[in-house]
Amino acid sequence: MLIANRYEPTGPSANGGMGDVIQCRDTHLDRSVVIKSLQPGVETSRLLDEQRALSKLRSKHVVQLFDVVQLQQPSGSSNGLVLEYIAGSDLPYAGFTVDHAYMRTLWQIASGLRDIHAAGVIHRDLKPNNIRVDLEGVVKIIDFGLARSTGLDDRTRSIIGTPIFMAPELWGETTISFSTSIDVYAFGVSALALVSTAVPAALQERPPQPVSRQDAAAILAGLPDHLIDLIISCLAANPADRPAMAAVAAAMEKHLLYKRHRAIAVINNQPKTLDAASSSIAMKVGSDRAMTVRYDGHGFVVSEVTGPVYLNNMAAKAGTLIPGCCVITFGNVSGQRTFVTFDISNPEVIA
Amino acid sequence: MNVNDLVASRYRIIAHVGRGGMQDVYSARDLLLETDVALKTPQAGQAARRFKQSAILAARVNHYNVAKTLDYVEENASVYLIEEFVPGETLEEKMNRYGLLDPYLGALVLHHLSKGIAASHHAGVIHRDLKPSNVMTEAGVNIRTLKITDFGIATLTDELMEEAAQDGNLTLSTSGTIKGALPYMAPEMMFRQPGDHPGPPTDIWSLGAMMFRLLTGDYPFGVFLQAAVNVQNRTRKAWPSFMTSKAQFRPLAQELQAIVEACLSYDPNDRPTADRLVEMCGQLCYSTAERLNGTVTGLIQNGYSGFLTTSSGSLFFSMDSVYGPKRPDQADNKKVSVARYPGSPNARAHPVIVIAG
Repeated sequence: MLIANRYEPTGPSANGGMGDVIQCRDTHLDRSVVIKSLQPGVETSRLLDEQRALSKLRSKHVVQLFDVVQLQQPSGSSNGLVLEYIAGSDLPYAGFTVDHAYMRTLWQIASGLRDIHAAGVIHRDLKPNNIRVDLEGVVKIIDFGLARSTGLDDRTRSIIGTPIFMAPELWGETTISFSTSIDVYAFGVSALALVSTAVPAALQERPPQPVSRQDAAAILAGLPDHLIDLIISCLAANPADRPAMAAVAAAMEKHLLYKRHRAIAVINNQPKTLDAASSSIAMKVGSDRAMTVRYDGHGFVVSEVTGPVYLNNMAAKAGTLIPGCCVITFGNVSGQRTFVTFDISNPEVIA
Repeated sequence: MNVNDLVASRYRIIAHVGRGGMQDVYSARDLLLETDVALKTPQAGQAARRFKQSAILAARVNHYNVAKTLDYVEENASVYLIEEFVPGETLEEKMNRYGLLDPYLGALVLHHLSKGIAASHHAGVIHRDLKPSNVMTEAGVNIRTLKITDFGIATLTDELMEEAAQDGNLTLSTSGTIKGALPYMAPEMMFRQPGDHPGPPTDIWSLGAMMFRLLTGDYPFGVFLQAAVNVQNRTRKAWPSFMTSKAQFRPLAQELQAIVEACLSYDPNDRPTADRLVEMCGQLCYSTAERLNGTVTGLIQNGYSGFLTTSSGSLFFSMDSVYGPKRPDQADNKKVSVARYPGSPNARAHPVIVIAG
């Protein structure tokens, strides 16, 4: 029995919480798709919210919506969303150790949420089993069953998230307005849950209590302090104290590039390379002008200056961070000048 | 097909945007999801069955750098493939205007295309007709989005080439598709014997030939039959000296040249796999700074440096930052593409590439 004269069910329907999930084969293109329907009695406006949310996004981390169909069910007809099937696996709870692969995964999740939020959408049910990794290693955030556009009918008292990932403000008795910060909170809990099933007891209380730095750091041991602080800030009790996902993604991308930058200084038409392996360069012109530059893993910093030295015509001082590309001028306009070009680049981090 | 025609009660034709050797391409509005899509339909004489087979093949590839296959419909004895659409231009159109890519943009393009090709090879799909006109990107001086299109015609191309090979010599084919593919075609494809089925390395050669063109502005072996002769005689054009004449660009340019040369190995087994290319590109250091359109306003220091205006103000530039065969001036070469870095009193432009007005 084909759905919409096109989609052939291929497996048992899995109950996906808010709606039925039907695995199907699209007979037109001979490929797997997933059809999500709402169970009878559940508001259909939510399904249409999901459709709008998805169609707005053109993100690497969001699944494609192909079609909307009418499903005939014993209890009547309902709408079904035909979605791209992502071959791969859900993110495992406690499946990671704190290493580069974990950081790359967190960066991808943060990037996906950044995109979703940029489209004005709140996921509202982020958790590891709503995050899949496809066969190319690209993180896909799925199941926007609870997603709504910001500012559009987003005041509600209903609590429909998954308990441990629900921000404290969702547990209150008063009407609250959903904001992107509930996804930030869920991201913070997910960051811990990906490493350990033993998430701090404070987070398991209802409503959850502030997590101590010690408890979070025990799970995240191996991350630099500022990233541990960043993840803890995602769990802040006050939504206003949580960072934007764009800032989280940027901090994680910066960490992924740690010690991977390269600077090329051209001296007498010869390129000299500065990088993690060769992290310092001393440049000297005559007896009265010199500058030493060191790579600290994130940027190239002036460590010593003697005499008049300028970076893109701005006076260089010890501690100055070198701009991405510059001309270093040794000497003043009135005298003999020597020019060195200094260009910084890095590998591009791509999901 | 006419503008405003409605296909499958869902796709409204906006415009005819292109004609490949085998299919017509339209932009269309998806009324259901309220997005713009590409709608493709085979030209008269192309078998609908083969068109469907190619659509099914293309639909197996799911990657950000490959145009997504969205839908396939048959209606009133016609067949239509609906594909993701990127508003902008193809890399071929970009070349017409910008001439060539500097090493930074070249590395970015190679990296992203390698990822898309790797994903398609993992899915068992070979493109067989990679060329700049099959890559969609945004208009203007920036390149951030790259989507390979026409994976769908892989099977059609293969059948066409198989037929041409049956007829004797593929390089003498009068088919427009084959002629268009020749500048980027691997030797084992050009000189294939009946029954040969060149594998994934054929795409790697094509990527290498395409990158040669993007980086130099020139075809590595020429065009049409000349390409076949030069591939057979192993007479590839030399790298132009401007790629390595400036020390600032030399390290990355040399890394790119080495990768492209590996892709252009005559023995398919000597070429890197797409996965290996992704690894190599992951090590390349390049700037992804936003590019701006600029206009040269004056030269100083006997032409050693100068100033240019952009939407972000007036920038200083040094001739050391100029990349490419053209030197900026205030006459024919006053239009440039640049990135901007802080400086005093003017920000600094680097790199500086002369573009066509």
